[in-house]
Amino acid sequence: MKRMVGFFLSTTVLLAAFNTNAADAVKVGAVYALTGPGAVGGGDGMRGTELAIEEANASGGLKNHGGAQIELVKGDSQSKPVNAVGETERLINQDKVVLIMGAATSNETVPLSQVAEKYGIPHINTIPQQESMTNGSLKWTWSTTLIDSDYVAGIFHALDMIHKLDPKKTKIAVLCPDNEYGIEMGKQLKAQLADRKDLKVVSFIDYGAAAQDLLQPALKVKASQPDIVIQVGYFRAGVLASKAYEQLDFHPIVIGTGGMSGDPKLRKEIGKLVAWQFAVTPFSADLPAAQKTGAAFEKKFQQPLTLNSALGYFGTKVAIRALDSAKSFKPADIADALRKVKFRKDEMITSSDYIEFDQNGRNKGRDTTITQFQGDKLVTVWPPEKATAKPVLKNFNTP
Amino acid sequence: MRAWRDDSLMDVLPLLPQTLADGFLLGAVYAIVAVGLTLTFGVLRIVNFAHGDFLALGLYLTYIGATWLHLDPYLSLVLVLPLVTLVAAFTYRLLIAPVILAPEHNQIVVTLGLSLILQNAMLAIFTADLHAMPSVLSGHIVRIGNVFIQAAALIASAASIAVCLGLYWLLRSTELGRQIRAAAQDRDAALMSGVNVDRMYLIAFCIGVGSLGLVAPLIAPFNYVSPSVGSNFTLTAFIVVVLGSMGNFVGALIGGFIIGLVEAVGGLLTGGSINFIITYAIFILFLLFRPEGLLGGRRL
Repeated sequence: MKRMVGFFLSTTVLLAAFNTNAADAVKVGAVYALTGPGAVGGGDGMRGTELAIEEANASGGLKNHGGAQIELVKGDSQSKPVNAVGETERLINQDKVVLIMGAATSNETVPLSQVAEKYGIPHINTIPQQESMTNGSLKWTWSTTLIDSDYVAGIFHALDMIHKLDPKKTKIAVLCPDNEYGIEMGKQLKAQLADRKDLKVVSFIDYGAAAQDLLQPALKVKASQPDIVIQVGYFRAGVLASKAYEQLDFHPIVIGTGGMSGDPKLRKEIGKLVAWQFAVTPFSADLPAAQKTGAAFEKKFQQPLTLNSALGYFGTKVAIRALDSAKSFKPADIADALRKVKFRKDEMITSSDYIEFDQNGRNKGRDTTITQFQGDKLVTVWPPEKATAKPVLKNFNTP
Repeated sequence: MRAWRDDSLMDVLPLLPQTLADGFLLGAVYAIVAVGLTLTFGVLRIVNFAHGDFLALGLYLTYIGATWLHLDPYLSLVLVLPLVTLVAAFTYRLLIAPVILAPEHNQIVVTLGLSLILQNAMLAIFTADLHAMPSVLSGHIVRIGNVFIQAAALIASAASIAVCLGLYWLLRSTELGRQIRAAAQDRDAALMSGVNVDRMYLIAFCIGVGSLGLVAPLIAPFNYVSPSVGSNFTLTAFIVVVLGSMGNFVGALIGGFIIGLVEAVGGLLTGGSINFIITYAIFILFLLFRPEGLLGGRRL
């Protein structure tokens, strides 16, 4: 009998403790593509968010709110805009999240942000660089990442860097996907390349964003005989483009966007083919502040901290800081806290210099770094004050 | 977005030999995938929407062989082929045989459901990450003039054609093949003639799906694996099968080459995703004007 009473007592105490925690927990939502063609980037983003929330909870939760724990409610967009809308609606109306994060591509994030706007729920855009989300048309979206023009500026920094090393490298080919991201990047690249009299654009080729191989686009790029290929895209396109260049015995200097040429996972998947490629990226794993996060991420998930993981992680850190400093978890108070939130230079794990939002929710401290795979390491080679190694000018797939 | 400079015919003409070679090699892989699909349809009269997912399963088994056992994809063939065939046998017994005489929509729901189960199981086990698998032949390029071909793709294509022809011979020239064809042509007559129809169905399903266990390690060195990779092949295999006449071996072979070449040449002449429109347009045109396919009426 005594044992039974003890059992019921301990169960009651445990349940009471559980209920207390549940009542204190604040729900935040994250919508990423966990299935479908965008699941590599989406899954990475979600893992970053998970780590940031786990770390915050482990270190005592939201201290200004009595140590309230953060409960992550996940949504799977299935790589489809319509599902991004549906999942955001579910998280807001059914799960009552106080803030929403995501997604990993513009196609999903733009409609997601419209749902957040409709309900007046703060939305943190962690990964896509779509400029329209922070041009003043949305009141409830804050973007902790870059915009397209930052990448384009970064690509021109890379071109100038290469030009200094070898002024003869002037013939440029551009390879862009035919999705929203590629079209916008392509438009900006075309406009700015047209102004550069020292560079000659020999081809501008678009590829199917969902294509299973990039042999034909790569063949056309090769036929134009460029010195440098600027490639815009994600991880899968990075793998396919490298394989196509290898098959076609094509050896240009490669500058890619972060996901296409600077993802640490590329080394494991395509080995030496990724060597010497330059990547314009919002995240460098060898930045001092990023190394600790990289180690924690690798310990938890047994894989390197990728670009999207880092952006998901950092966006969530910003959200957590805003939640902690908000007067309450009412949307207006969280929005107010987001307007005031700041991250100093030494706290940044991404390439940007600092976090401070302008009146449109765009970060004022945005910046890119340029990385390069040198041997087994992915190192930062630009800007000089952040560089951990000097750039090495070598052609694709050469020793 | 259009190309920076217009791709006139004269510009792309020198690239055509490379494109034709790419299309031919791609077509051979499509052909063997489609041959498996057409065999299961031709014999069992079941449309297997999970066909490509068995290819993804084979690719993941190859990946496991490469990462856990450090086996080259070509060596893992000895494991992957029997394992995929074994999974096919279990699938037939557990899921396909019970609905073999059921209405078509029941069968479709079963194979569609199986496809979703397989994809999500692979997603849960392996995550959505994309993986490439190197082999001893990775980076080995065969150069013929200005045409560059991956040695691994050449081997896969040669093997695909050989397997297609081998299966054709098996069905046409062996006692087993005759019994399979008998079961395919008239189930009741075959039963009355003493053919073990259920056994023939099992063998046909195992050959049709098991052939993917042969294809997977062969295409692994120049392909990639992710949970959704199979559905792309399923869709293309359906187009190939319709084009070449459902249940027709030679048709699947011809259809595979046609779609491979159309995709490659379309990719060269157009930009972005427009070449997929060409493929699907051909598919729709065939469904509208020649639903029986190129070799209409001639089945197994």
